[in-house]
Amino acid sequence: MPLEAFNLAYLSVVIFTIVIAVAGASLLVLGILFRPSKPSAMKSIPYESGVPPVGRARERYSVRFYIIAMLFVLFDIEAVFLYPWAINFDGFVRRGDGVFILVEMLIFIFILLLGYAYAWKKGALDWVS
Amino acid sequence: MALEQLVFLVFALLAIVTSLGLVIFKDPVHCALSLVFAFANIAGVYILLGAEFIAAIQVLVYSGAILVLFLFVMMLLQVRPGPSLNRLRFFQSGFGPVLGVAFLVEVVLVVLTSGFVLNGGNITKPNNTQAAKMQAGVEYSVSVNVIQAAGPLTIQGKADGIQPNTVGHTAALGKELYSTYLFPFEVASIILLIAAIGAIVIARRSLVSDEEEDHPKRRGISLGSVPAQGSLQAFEVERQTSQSQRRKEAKKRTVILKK
Amino acid sequence: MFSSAQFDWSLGGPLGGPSLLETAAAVNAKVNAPNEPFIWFLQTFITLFVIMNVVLLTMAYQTWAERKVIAFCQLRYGPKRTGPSGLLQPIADAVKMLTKEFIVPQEADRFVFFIAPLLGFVPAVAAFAIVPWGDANTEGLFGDWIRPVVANLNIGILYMLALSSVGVYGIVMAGYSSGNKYSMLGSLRSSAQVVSYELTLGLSLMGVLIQAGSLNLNDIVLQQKATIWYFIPQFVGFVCYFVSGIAETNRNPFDLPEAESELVAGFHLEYSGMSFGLFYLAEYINMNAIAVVAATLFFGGWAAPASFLEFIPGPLWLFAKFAFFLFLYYWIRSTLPRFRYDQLMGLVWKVIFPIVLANLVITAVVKIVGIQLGWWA
Repeated sequence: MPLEAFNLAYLSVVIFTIVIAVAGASLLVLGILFRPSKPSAMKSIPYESGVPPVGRARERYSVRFYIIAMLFVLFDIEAVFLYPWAINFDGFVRRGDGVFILVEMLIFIFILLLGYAYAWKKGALDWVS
Repeated sequence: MALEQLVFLVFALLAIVTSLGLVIFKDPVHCALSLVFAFANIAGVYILLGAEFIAAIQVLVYSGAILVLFLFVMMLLQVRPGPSLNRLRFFQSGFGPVLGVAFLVEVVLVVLTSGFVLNGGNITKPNNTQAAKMQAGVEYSVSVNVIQAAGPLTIQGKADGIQPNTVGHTAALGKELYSTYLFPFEVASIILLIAAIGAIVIARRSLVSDEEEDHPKRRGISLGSVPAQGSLQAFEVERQTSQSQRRKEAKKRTVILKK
Repeated sequence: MFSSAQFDWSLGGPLGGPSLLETAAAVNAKVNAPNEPFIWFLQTFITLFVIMNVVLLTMAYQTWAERKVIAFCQLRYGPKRTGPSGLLQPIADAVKMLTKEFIVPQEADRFVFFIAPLLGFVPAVAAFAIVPWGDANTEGLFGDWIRPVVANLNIGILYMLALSSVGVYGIVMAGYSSGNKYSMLGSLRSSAQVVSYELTLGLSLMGVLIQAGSLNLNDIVLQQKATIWYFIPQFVGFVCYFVSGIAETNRNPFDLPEAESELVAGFHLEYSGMSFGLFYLAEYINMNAIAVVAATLFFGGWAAPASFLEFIPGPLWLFAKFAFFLFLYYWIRSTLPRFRYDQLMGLVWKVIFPIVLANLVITAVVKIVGIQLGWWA
């Protein structure tokens, strides 16, 4: 595929995104014409099933969320390496390099699975310990 | 004005504006949001350079994964807006400008050595996007030629009429990565492994302290209502309580004075 | 208006190559490729206007269909008062949302609170830009005024995954900006769930990528048309994809973030009126996107199951497959009870993740062996 042909496709993606954003924003803004606006102090209290709120919302939360996000970043980067590998796999196999490219990816996955096994063993994947 | 230059200008300006937002906003979550938009605009610039795979990865990994991690950490630590970390002030005000100037010099050097030369010494008229595009175009067409010389990379399918659309940037990049640059690729997995183990080792301490709720010697990221001794959070809480005490005392004093 | 002189398209080609429009015309092999940028823009606008409206209308009537199917499962009638068999219900819902008050809670971060619904809505709809409802290499309807696909991207699957990963920001920002601890907790839970399942969502497609050798959705459909629908060789991948997709879109039985009994309503607790409506739209449109991509990647997209059925046009086939997946969603919703949060996270990290990696390796091995033994060309 020549270099420039896809730029038009991306241009239409950009236009599409802008149109959606404008449509969504206008949905939000258009309501001003129809909806009532009677703010009161009681209405704007944070909703806790009708009970007056206790404590602040900006509390500290469990560190497990952090661990999940960290593991996600790592394995997401692994997945990023896998996409070009997967779409090139056929070409490599047809040129007789199939075992080579498979083994090189197996090594890559194996090294990452060491980290996965460590996380599992240390209980980072258990939500309740 | 050519359409591509217009699009480039829009993306570049938005990238600069959102990057400035990252620096200027006080609330760290606003900064993160600004950074998301900056990444999206940089992805747009990558697409103009012909690097569609890198653009997708930019959004997928940086916006989709790393910034989510940042946000989680911010919510975990409850980073407060404004200059609450007084201790870092000297570092920021002293070392920051030096780093800034260093980066500026670096950027100027890069611009002078690449775009300037490619434009034939003319930096204003055929602007830099054209130069960058030419550079990208040359590299890109070279790698595509390599692939075509080495034989068709993509499956053609049994049926006729399938367009070989797939010899794109991604396939070219993958072919190079898994043959020429095999060693760096494998090393990347070891770096990721180290990061995984490091993250778990550091976070595990607070996982342990999470279970022993009343343990007195908690360190690292605190989860309960009482922050760890000696941590930045404890410092912050101490500062606030001492401030409120001082205020109360001052009030008492004024009451006494009025009497 | 626009003319060729004002828009210097020829600058687009590097090293004096062909211009943008010439190249596009050549690649897409279109019969009457437009020579005017103005026509190109007009066609793009018409195409995306049509696609956007189809997406929104499908979403609206899907809520009606969902209520009807679940009511059927539970031996009820479902909506039947508004219009014949409740067909005007979605419109009544839209009117209701538009006329409800927009309440901003006192501790809210006002700007972020206002734009968070958009951060969820825009990526959800934008995912439909890459779904082909006909062969993207041919001319569309009415002399190409409605193109078969908004953008036939080479990195189609990556584009979809990137958008679904960006969709997390709507959830995170809504929870953060509401200033309510239930919203905050709901958004943290939801985003941890979404990112975890996002990982397996991407990895479960690896088998398809190995088989098709392309990230382009239209190419993958053509491959399936030429060989076999991928849900047969990639059944494990398909199941993992669909389960991850349900969890990624926070649908039952994985709708933990909105668990009414624990978190009131999760991250959009403080939202009212049309702001809530946009989250509602985004959730259903995300679900539609998962369904339509499943139909495209595993069930042949717009391609007919057999050549003698090709007289039925592609969009109808795509819609039929899409409707099947929606029915599957409703069926699952009305059958299965909700998971516990630790079960949910255990499922993705301890079950689906190893399975998709094994699926990837097995597909690769089978491919090598198959080519060596000459099972397929």
